[in-house]
Amino acid sequence: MNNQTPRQERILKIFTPVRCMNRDQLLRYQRGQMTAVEKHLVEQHMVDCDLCHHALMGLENPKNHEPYERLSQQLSLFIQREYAPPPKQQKQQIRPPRQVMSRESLLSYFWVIMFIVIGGGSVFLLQQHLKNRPAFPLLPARAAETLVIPPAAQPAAAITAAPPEEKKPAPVIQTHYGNRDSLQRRVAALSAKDSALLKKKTAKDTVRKSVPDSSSRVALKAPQPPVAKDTPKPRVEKLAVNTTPIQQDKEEKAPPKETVEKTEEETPKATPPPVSGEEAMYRVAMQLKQQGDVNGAINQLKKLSGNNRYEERVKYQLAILYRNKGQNGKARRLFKDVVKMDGNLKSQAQAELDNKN
Amino acid sequence: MHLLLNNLNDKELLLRIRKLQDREAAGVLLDRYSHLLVATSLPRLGPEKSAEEAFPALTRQLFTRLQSSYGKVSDTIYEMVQYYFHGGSKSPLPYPPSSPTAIQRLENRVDLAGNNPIEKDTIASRLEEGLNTLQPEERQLVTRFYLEHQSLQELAKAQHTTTDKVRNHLRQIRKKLAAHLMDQHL
Repeated sequence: MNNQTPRQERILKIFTPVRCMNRDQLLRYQRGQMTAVEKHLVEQHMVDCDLCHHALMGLENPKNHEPYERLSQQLSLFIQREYAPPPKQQKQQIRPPRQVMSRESLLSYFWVIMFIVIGGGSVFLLQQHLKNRPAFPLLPARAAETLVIPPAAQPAAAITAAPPEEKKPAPVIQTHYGNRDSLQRRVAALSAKDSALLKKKTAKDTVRKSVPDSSSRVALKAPQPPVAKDTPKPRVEKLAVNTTPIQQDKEEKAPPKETVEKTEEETPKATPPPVSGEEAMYRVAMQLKQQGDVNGAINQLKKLSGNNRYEERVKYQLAILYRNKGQNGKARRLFKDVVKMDGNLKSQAQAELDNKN
Repeated sequence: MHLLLNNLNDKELLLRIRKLQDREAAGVLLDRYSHLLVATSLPRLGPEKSAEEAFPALTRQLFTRLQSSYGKVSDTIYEMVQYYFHGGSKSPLPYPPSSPTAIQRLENRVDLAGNNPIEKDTIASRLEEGLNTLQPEERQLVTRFYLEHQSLQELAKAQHTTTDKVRNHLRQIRKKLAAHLMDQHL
């Protein structure tokens, strides 16, 4: 027996739970085929378990042994059959492959078409945007370097005895961003200038050969042909103003047959007129002001601040811009400068100062 | 899955039946007790209630009962057999106890003590105190059966009674002892 264990361990067996007898133990206990330890464990359990006790009582009759084995086996099979796990539903896993294929292919076609449409549309929109890009936002930053000063002085001194088809195009201030084909126009202007210079040289040579030196002075002051007069260049008008009335008369009386003229050698051939560039900058500043770009206009005007010709106007416009910007101190100081300069804008500046005060 | 469920004890299978409505777990549990069900029902089978109709009905009722059962499975099966063969449709099936009895609590505590020597010492000392409160003949019977490992037949022979009476006596002493220990807040 298991009496070697201490009393403390054994006393716990009073309430130690023991499992019910299995098929083998039930028959072996009934037949007396158990060891003493196993038999005592079964009896410990039987004290508390009515089911095992009545099962043993039911098997005390030997007639029940055969039906017990048969019925227990049948009941076990019945329970296993009745409570078996439900078969897996394979219908859900099997899908008609044709429908799936057609659906997937339609979806893939749809997305490919959508991708192509979206991609093409975005490329088209980008191209349209680049074509119709606004010119002015880039202008102020690069206005100074993009100004192309046309050879305005050249036509004034140009010999216009050439036939009318040799007329040079009117000088226009060109910018890179003025329009799309500005570069082409610039190239065309340069080529025209070169050709005019070449023709002028040849004309000079012919004049020197044909006209005597004594009459060269007169010829220099000879009136310019009407073609040259009609050009809208300010330099040309200036030259025309400087000429004396006698000369003007001479010019009017000058026979149109005279085909060769020579311009004065003293005219500033190579010096480009700085006036037109500064004026362009001033116009750009005014345009920026009209567009509401106050800071851009101020920067543009500051570049012109050193020029004496535009100083009064520049200071006046700067004062107005500072006033609009809310910097009244700067505006007042500039208005005072304009008043001190005693120019055309003095009264307006004084009125602004009075309004301020 | 069936093999895995076979390795679970009764409590775990009952938990699966209650929580997951696991029919397979119920099948494993019923198969585990089917031989006892047959052996208990065998003397009561007759022409009125044959094996062909009694066992399927019993298993169906047991499956329903196990879904709300908390106690021992053997007690539930025995109650169901008693009800089916004796009560029938005359009296309603009694509800299972909602709280475990004093014996079940004590058995759970001893089971959970496992290899914890402090807990085991505590329970053992309380059991000794409880044994001292019993009558001398009761204490002697418990000592002979549980501590000296004498069999029921030997005890019945010594007391000139049957094994059933010795078993019933031991069962009553056990209940008394458990109730006493529960009163002592063990």
